[in-house]
Amino acid sequence: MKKISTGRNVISFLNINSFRKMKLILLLISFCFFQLYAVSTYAQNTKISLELSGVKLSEAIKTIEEKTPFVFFYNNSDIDMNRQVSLNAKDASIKEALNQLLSSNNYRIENYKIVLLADKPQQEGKITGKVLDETGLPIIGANVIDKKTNSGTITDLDGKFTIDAPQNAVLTVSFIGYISQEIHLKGQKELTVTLKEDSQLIDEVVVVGFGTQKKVNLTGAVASVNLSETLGDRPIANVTAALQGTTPGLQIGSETGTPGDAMSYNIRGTTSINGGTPLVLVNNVPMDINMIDPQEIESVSILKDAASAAIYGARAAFGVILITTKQGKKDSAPKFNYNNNISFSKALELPQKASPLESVLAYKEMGWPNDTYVDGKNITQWEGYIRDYMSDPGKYPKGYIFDEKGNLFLMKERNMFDDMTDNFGFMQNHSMSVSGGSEKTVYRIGVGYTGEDGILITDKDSYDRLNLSTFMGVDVNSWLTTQLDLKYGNSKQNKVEAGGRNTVWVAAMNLPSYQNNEDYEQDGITYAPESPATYIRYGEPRKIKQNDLRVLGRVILTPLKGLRITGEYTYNRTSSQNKFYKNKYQYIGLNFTGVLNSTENSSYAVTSKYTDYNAVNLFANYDMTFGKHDISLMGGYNQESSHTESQYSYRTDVVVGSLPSLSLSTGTPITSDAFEEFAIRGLFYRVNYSYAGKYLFEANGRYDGTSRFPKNSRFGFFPSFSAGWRVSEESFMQGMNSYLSNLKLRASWGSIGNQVILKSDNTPDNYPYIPDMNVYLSSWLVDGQKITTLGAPAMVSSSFGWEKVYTLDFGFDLDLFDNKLNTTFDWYRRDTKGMLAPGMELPGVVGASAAKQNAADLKTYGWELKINWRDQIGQVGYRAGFNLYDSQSEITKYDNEAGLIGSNIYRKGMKLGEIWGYVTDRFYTEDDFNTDGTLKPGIPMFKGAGKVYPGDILYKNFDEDTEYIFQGENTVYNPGDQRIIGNNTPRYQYGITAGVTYKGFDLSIFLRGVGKRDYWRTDQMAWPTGGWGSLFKETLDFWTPENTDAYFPRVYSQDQTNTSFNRKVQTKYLANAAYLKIQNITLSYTLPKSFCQRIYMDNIRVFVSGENLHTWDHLPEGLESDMLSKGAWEYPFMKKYSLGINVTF
Amino acid sequence: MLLSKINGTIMKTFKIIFGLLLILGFSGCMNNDFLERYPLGNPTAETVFKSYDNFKTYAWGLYETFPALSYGETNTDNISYNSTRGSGETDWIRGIVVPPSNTTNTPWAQYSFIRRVNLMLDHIESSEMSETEREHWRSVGYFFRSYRYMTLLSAYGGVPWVDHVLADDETDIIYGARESRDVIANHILEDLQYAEQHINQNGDGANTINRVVVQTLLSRFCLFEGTWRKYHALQEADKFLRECKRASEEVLKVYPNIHSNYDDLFNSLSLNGIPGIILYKAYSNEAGVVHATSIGGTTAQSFYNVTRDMVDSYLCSDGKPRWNSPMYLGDKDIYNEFSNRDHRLWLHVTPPYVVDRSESTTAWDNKWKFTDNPKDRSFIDSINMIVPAERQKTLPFRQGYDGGILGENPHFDFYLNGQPWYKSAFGYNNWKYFNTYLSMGSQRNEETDMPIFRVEEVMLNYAEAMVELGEFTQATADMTINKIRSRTNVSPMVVSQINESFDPKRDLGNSSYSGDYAVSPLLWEVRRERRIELFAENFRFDDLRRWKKCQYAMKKKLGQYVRKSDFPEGTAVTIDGGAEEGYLEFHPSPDKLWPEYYYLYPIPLNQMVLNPNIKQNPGWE
Repeated sequence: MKKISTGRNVISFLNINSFRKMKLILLLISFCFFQLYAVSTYAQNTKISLELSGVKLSEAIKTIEEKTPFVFFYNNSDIDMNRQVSLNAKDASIKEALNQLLSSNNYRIENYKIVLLADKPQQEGKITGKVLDETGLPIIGANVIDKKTNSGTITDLDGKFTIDAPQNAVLTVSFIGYISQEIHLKGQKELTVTLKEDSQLIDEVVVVGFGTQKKVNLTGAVASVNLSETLGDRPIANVTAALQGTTPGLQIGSETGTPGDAMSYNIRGTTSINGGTPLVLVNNVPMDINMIDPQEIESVSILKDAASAAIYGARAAFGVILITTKQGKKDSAPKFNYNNNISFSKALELPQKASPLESVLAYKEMGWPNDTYVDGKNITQWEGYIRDYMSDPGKYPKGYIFDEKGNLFLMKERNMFDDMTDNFGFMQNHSMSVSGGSEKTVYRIGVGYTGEDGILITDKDSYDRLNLSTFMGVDVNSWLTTQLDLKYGNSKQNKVEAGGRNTVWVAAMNLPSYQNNEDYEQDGITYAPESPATYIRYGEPRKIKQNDLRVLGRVILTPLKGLRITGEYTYNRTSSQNKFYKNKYQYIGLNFTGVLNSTENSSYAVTSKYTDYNAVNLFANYDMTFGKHDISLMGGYNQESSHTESQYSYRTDVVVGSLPSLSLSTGTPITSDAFEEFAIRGLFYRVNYSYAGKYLFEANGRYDGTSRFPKNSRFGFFPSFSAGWRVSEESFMQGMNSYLSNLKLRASWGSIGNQVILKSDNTPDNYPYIPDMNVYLSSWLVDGQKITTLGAPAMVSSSFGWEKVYTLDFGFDLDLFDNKLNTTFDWYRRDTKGMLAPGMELPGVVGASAAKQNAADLKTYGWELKINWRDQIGQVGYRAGFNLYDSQSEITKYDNEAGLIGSNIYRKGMKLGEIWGYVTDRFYTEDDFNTDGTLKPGIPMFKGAGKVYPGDILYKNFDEDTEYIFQGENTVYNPGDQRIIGNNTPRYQYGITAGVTYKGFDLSIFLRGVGKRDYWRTDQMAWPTGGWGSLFKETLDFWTPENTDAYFPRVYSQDQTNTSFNRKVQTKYLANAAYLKIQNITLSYTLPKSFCQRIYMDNIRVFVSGENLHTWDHLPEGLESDMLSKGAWEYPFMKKYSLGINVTF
Repeated sequence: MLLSKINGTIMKTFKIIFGLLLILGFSGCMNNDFLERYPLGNPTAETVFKSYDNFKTYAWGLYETFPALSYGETNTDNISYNSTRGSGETDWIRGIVVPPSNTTNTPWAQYSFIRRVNLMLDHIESSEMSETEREHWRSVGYFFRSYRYMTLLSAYGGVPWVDHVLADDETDIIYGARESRDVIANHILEDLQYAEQHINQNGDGANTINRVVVQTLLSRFCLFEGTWRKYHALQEADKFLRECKRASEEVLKVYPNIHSNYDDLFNSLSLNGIPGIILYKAYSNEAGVVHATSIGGTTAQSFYNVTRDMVDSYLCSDGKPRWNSPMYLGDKDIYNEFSNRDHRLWLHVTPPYVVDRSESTTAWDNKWKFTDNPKDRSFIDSINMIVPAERQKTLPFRQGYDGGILGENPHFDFYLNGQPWYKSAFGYNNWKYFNTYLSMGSQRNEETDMPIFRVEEVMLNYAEAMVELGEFTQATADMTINKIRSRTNVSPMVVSQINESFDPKRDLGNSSYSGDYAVSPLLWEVRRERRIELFAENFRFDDLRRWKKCQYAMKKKLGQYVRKSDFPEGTAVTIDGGAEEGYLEFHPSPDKLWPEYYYLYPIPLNQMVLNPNIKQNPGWE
């Protein structure tokens, strides 16, 4: 089979080309920085010119520090800093200068550090040693300090050090991330020190709202994600995917595998029936996290309870995800980092269609009248042709035949999925950064590129994103710091969308396996077949471009010790362009029924949109300590405003297809515009108090106003409180120190307001209290044109206000066995009060849905558990982590006294996600019928069915009416024969991580899943299809008189009535949507330091990774639980294999 | 419990503290203009209803309530809806209608449209318009509101009357009981009469609601209500029939003539300027407003067949019923059956023909030629004669796109002979809306305009009212039915000839239904003309309901006369009574009578749950 793949080749080439360009830019940038680095390396040889006379030694040192990159280390008690010195140096080396200054020559130069030794040297000697980590690799740059004199040195590239110290000195050896060691010298001259990795991370700092806190002092339910570990080397394009499954209570999902599509996220289940998503803040201000290069991210904190989120007030009701991006480090040489990741993808699983023979045999069993299929073919004749073809395909080279009457019989088995997909999709991530800083400045510059071409043929399913970020911070003086953070993201997504008569996805699923997929010649012209591959190949994709430019300016004042005042201004402009050119092309209809146009009139639609977002944060932090009391205060002000404008233009009959434009189209232009604005403003505070590090208290609050509510109910106040008790610090617990590292009990209570009311299209309603009228073009034509008109406004209550969310949270953190085992547990209950809900369903005479009032309450309760284990056996390190969470929501108040059941109808006591349906009893059998075809007494029939037949579904009767199965009044008080048969809320979601390290190797595995979930499926594979549409392997087992033990009921070739009664929501066909997925397996190897240094590198790591490798579930092949809510099959999830390298130099 | 108590206490404390803070002056500067944001794009009711043009803009949306024409009438004796052999027809005919659980897709849902009209009416007083302008928009509002109350009245009888936008505290109306049929009918009547007097005579330009349109609706409504009352034993039938007569006369003054070609009314790219078209719904592919009526009646799995009963009702060219006309050639041969008949039969039911497709190599090819048998092409020629070629209702039949020539018609679903489409169970396919205008492609973007009100209906309303009033004369016939017949190849009606024996198959009453009545010969003929002229325009079910003659729909539906021997051995041909030759059968005969209570629809169940004062129509409980 010939495959046309030029389109794809072109695009790969383009990608590579742009990648090359990028590399060049990166190289240039690197080169510039390398120059800088080189300069500072050779600074040691810099000549110094300086004239000083009769100044204090301390001043002289300060002057030298200012003029050179050198820093002095000394101990005040050992050296008389007030003594007068003079210096006259001209082009002198640093040594010459120092020799003048310090008569005793008691100093040493270590790189940039000049260590001044005691004026009166004691009896000491050189001590040499080596500092190693547990795996025996040298630790470079570890500090070795004589505890008494504070003089010290750092280890060299081989981990070696030399220090002058008394024979009985006490040396402190320390390095970041390792547990410091004290070594009491007893005359040794040579030492080997092995530092243990600090797994307890007890000083770990977690980012919280407008500040940071030590993890041990946290009292709220805050989870921090070690992104560098979870992101690791996985082939994923955005940070949302990296967070999936990492944190109990954080639920992230996607419905399809379309490259570039955003994923949804949720914290702790349903907060409000009005929907809403967690607030995602990047450096304190909301941002689309899909526009950030994940490599930019320093830390991610998830604020789950009200106590920790309340500081963000108005928008924090659904929890907060705090993202802090990377900055530079002071006093550090430029660090270059380059990561890449090249991956190849394939559909994880695809639906399996029934073969032509299976399909035709099934049609036969369905009992089509007169043995004639819907399109007029004789089924037996068809079966004969297929069998004949199967025994000798050579007889029918085309795979189909027209019989003497001109009837078409399709015989060959085809695979639409193969046609429409490439051998593999391709994705590449590159990111490069350089960061560093001097004493007063820090900087970081990063560039990232992600390019993905999905698994469909051509590049019409692709996603590209380029990111650039710059951070610059300057300490203007001792009390003023300014920072500037620029981020720019630019993405381009192509999405396959339209087909001809069907969309690509519908066609791929619904065309039976015998349907032609090859070109066809008619009247001397070759036409493409009516197939999904044709739609993709010849149709135009939807093109979505996004730009995101964000400027953050920050000023930090530290006028007093402990006081820090921060002012931030963020400007964020996002713009997008959504273009869709629906082009006109021709293909041959199914069954060769003539040449069809994909559309009668080509058309071009463009939506341009931009949003200006302005945010101001002013806040002050003050910390003080007296005695055993630690107090932190924080207070601040926040205001944000957003203005969005969009324009839509549409015109039919595009003249030049290769360059679609509105100007060059001839149809009547249709245009419209839209505006959205909102503003919020708030005052907030936080008070932390701790006594002796054991008793922790925190109070938060926010006074918040929003433009989304009427003036008189615009503001709300939302306080929260939390407390912690570090039991392990109590003296009575000291006996357990050997294995109990940390035990903290936590409790919190807080309230948050919710001001986000979603419209039916899932965007926030910015004017929910203003009954606005929708302007649209009427389908009534005036003078041949659609005419502008207005819809009636919805009913609006002018008095509504905030939904309030109260969360009560109890939890504990338990760390055991020298912090090898970390456990966190939280139980919570969240009450959403005064949800905006239709006051009550109104009788139909009102003609509108009831106005929304703060009239409904919801209760959500759940728990979260996270356990991590990390240890070392010899040179093998291993780790394992497990997290599990669950939540359920229940309506506690709702104006539905009648107890009506239905979609989007709630009632008191209702568990969200509940599924009402019938209980399947069995199939009707011949025995149930009298000879005249009526049912025997006592056997019920579905009301309205008229007549049933053997093989139809018999439901269990529950109500008094034993003659009929019916929905009763469809209320909870009279549900007829309906029952609650399941719940589609995902329960017991879990994530499992495990890893092993040995020398430089690291193998990690990540699994995640859902323990329990029901789902009523509506996809194409849910039922056997009678007429048009495809049968699948899974849908062949249906009832026939010969196969009464089937899974599916009788299939009617045409009857809609009995079919609909057989397919009522019911127990037998309720899907089990639980699953377990191998999300990722990565093997990486970090090259030995010694090797790296030989090629002037700090760190080199290479890896191979497999993403989304397998799913165990209870669904037909090709379908995944996460897709079910889409209702129909679409872009499959992809499994990816990737390899890449990570270099730091 | 405890939690909410804690919530309460804590909130109280903090409210006090914060109250103090606010008093200190914070609130003023916090709650200022910065937080005042209003919609920049969409207007509100307060801002939008000011000028005449504002009202006009809003009112265009009300026009959307007019339905699109579609193949319907499946609950009647005109059409047999054929999808599954052996199971029966619509739920109404099968007698298995179940009260719907909610208002979705029920007439009760019209209240949201009524609210939309009321919103406009509510804002007339506060507008900046002159009194005349106010009267005009009040009239337009009343027209649309009445149009939809008619739907409610027809379906349910009395319903709650809502004449303004309800606020959620107007519980006496929201939770009130249904008004009587009289109250609703009189509101409609009065509102339409007001509109007739006060609307701009010419509306708002071409093809808009104007005085004649209002009068047309009056004519339709009053005939419906008058006859309903007469045959359902209610009072005041005459009042409505007289009003029908009066309003119809007004319309006929303005539209005395009809267009010369019947097919043009349903298969024209534009109905603008076509005589007798009072209001129409325009379609345009370019504007993106299209329908799919042309071949929509015959999809692969369901098809709408004209019944034998319907076919039998067309008169012969001499103006006599087929039962006793000497021109009738018999029904054993469909060519004969179609000969010497009302031309509307040819335009409603695809006439028979055969062509030679031997040059076509596939089932979908479009190469054809005439056969050597002149009979095979006779109706191809006839159709091309009565429908000018440019109007595109041509034979041989082809699918909407170029190609797919149907080799012969009738074309049966049980003997497809290799051509799956345009199949028929009865041999009689409804092709009233069929045309091959343009190349419609696979998208079925059809753009022929569709009449909403046409004068022929008013003529028939008038004729029927006059019969009911006992005032029907030859003059009445000449200004109505005979005008209509002028384009149908049927001799004019001569009132004096219509006697007891004019149609031997006339309905003489059915004893299975208590109180059923015999239809008088004149009324029978007027109803016949209505049935034929307005075929497939969705009048028939309401007509049967108001005449209390739904039992017509329960008659066994049969098709063309065939012989088993016409088909290859083994073809499953279902013939009435299992005979070797006879009329085609599809559904078995319904073994039920039309239940009396089926004349009104069931009210959606949730309405009675939400408002216990709403009581279900009798029989549906």
